Amino acid sequence: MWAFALRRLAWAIPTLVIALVLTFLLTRITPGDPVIDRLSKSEAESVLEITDDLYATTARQMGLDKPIFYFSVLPCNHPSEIATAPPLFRPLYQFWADRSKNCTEARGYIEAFKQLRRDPAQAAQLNSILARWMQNEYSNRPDFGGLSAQNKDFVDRIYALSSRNKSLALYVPSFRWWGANNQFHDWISGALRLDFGKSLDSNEAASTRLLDALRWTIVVNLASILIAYLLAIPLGMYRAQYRNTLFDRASGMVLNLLYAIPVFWLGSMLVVFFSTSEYGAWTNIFPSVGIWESAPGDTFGQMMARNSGRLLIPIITLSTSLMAYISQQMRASALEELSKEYVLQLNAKGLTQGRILWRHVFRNASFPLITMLAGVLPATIGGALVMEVICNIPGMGRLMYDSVFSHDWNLVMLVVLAGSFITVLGILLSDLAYAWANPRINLSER
Amino acid sequence: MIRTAKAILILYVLVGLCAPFIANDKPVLVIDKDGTRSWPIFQNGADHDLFLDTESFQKIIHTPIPFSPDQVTSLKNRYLPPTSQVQLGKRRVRHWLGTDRLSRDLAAIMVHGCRKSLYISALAMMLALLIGSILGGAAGFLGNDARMPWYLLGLNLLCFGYALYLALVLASYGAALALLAIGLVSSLLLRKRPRPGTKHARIWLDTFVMRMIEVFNSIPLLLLLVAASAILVRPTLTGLAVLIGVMSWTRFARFSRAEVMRIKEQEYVVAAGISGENSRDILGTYILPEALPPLLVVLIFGISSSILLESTLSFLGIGLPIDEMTWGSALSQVRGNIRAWWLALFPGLAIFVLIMCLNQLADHVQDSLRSRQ
Repeated sequence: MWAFALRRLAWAIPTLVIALVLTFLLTRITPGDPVIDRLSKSEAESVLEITDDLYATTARQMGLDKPIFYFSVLPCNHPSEIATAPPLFRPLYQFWADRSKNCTEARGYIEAFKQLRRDPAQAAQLNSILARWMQNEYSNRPDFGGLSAQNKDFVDRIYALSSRNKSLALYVPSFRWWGANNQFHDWISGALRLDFGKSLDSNEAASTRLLDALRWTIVVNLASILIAYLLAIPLGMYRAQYRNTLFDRASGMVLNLLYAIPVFWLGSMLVVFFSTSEYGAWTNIFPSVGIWESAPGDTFGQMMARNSGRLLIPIITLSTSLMAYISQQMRASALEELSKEYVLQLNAKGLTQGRILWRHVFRNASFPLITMLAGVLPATIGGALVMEVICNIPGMGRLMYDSVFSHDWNLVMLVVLAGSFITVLGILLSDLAYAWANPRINLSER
Repeated sequence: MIRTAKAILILYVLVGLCAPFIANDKPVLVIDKDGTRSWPIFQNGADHDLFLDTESFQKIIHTPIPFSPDQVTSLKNRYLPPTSQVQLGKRRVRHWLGTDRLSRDLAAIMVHGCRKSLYISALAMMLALLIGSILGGAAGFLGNDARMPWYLLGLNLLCFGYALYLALVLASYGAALALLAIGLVSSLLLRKRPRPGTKHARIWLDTFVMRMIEVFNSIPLLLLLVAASAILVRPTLTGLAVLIGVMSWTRFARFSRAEVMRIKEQEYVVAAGISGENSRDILGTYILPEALPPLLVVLIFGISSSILLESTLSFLGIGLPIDEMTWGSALSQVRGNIRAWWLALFPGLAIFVLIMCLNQLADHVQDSLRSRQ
């Protein structure tokens, strides 16, 4: 069994790496730029007024001046600088390079552009034109009065370029190898030493932020899974025992309804109708979800005690839909067991119904429930994301949600890593538990 | 029960198909004072402001809901409760389901939201079905013993690689798809007559597909979608649909692989193989007719879960443009104003009823397939 577990974990490594590479590439081609975010926060300047030197130093501090991955595949007329260019100017460079015959020509435009921007007076003149170019507006050229000779020359060249068609050289890919000096290598070699970088947003260690958030997600998820299983198992078993009675049919109908309720709807409805006294005093059952109370220096336990009421709505919501699903499965698998011959024989032996149901049928019927745990875990993490957003719980889903919008890529990577890891672990655990519950299963064959 | 569910589903599809004729700010038919007729609903340029002055026309016939989902009437009409009346020009009209935070009509939003939801989930599931059943079916049928001439494998890999380049670097998706199609078709044509002595490559298709499924399943879907949809520079309905489709093919692949493997082991199929029928005939006569119908159940469940996914995403405000109102994004507005209960109730109810009917239908199809066997 341990050999199986180890082999499974080993197989999980390439899976995790692929997931991470995918997420990493996704985050890096996003339009947002963390460097600009940070600069505009501290320097409060307009984006175009950030000098290239300032940008370059900040990017170097944040490790964002390197190429993204070990290699890149670019059209053969795109010079390599494009891969490391600031995201702000990258579309501009790409537009020029698309229309250049080869790298040398494209590099000529980029170099001329950088040269002009180095002189503050020239750069200021150029900025008004840049805004148009960044919107991809090259078509009708307005009369730019008062340009210096160098600027005018450059602008003329660009407008001449923009009237050209895209070069056919685009269709010839060329491979650029960057070696280990890239952002992904930095991240993954840090991650192997369990150093996941700093949150680009708040400058805290990303792992601290994640662990803080993870506690809440674990509490909410464990509580809802536990409640769901505790309610669903007896319900499913008794429905199978008393099948086709009024009790079975009525509860089946209710469970069908509960199963189809979208998590975010149930959550929103509870928040809207039962957390305010807007619709009568008796409806104010749950504490309002708006503000998360905390005092400085609170431990997790104190925070928990202070805000435990606020966890009620998410736990109720998550466990409701989960419970409906599990108890339907429980009923189906118990029904299948109850129709088997050994049950008939146990009956003939004179065992009480309760004993048959819980001693014999339950053990056999519970196998599917165990494998289901693997699917339940990722599903509740997804559900928890929504509930954390609705109820303002500072959990993992909320963290992910906020960090995607604030371009905090180190955090995003870590959350995806943690999420994938939990999912892989869930699948593995369910396999092991399945083998433990059903010794007939031979894991080495799977 | 199942009849009601089917009727409701048909109603949803009809509402989705006819959305512009149910909720539109442009009138269907306008008869001028001099008797000339015009059909503004079919005219792109027609502006609803032109028809506010009812007295200058003989007759104006509006759609049942005389609002468009993106129509902002007036700041004082924000968050109106259901059935409140407003003055539009010389006309008094009712917002039957109330308005949202920008005074848009909720009923109109919901009618058009139905169209968007159905479009996204149908497209996503078609894509997922296509990818999943082909990969899964091939993995189940060919196992780890698929053989292909080296030159064809090379050709296909080349086409695939270049298609990736076209799609990801040059963003020309049509060309990429065309190239993939060319690769597939040419390899189907060329493999008919392999010259004797051609070196064949063994392809570990089953292992490959299973690993792919494992990779996709261990990425938390919602988390990845949150990350992925943030990168869509110009988010569109189709873009979101493709994203959901590409991410959810595994359910079809797993199912069709298991199904094909089960059928392949049946005695009559094995017997057909021994008696010398070629594998294409076996696939066409025995395996496909048996393996395809159960996929319908997976498809219906898939549609219901992608509707759920889409509305969850738009509830979170991810994946779709901000001005593209759907059920989810209408529902999310209640977080800004907890008193606007109608924003929480009606869109959620629409999703809930649709999902329940789909689940009922899937159960029904499953039962009838089982009883047929």
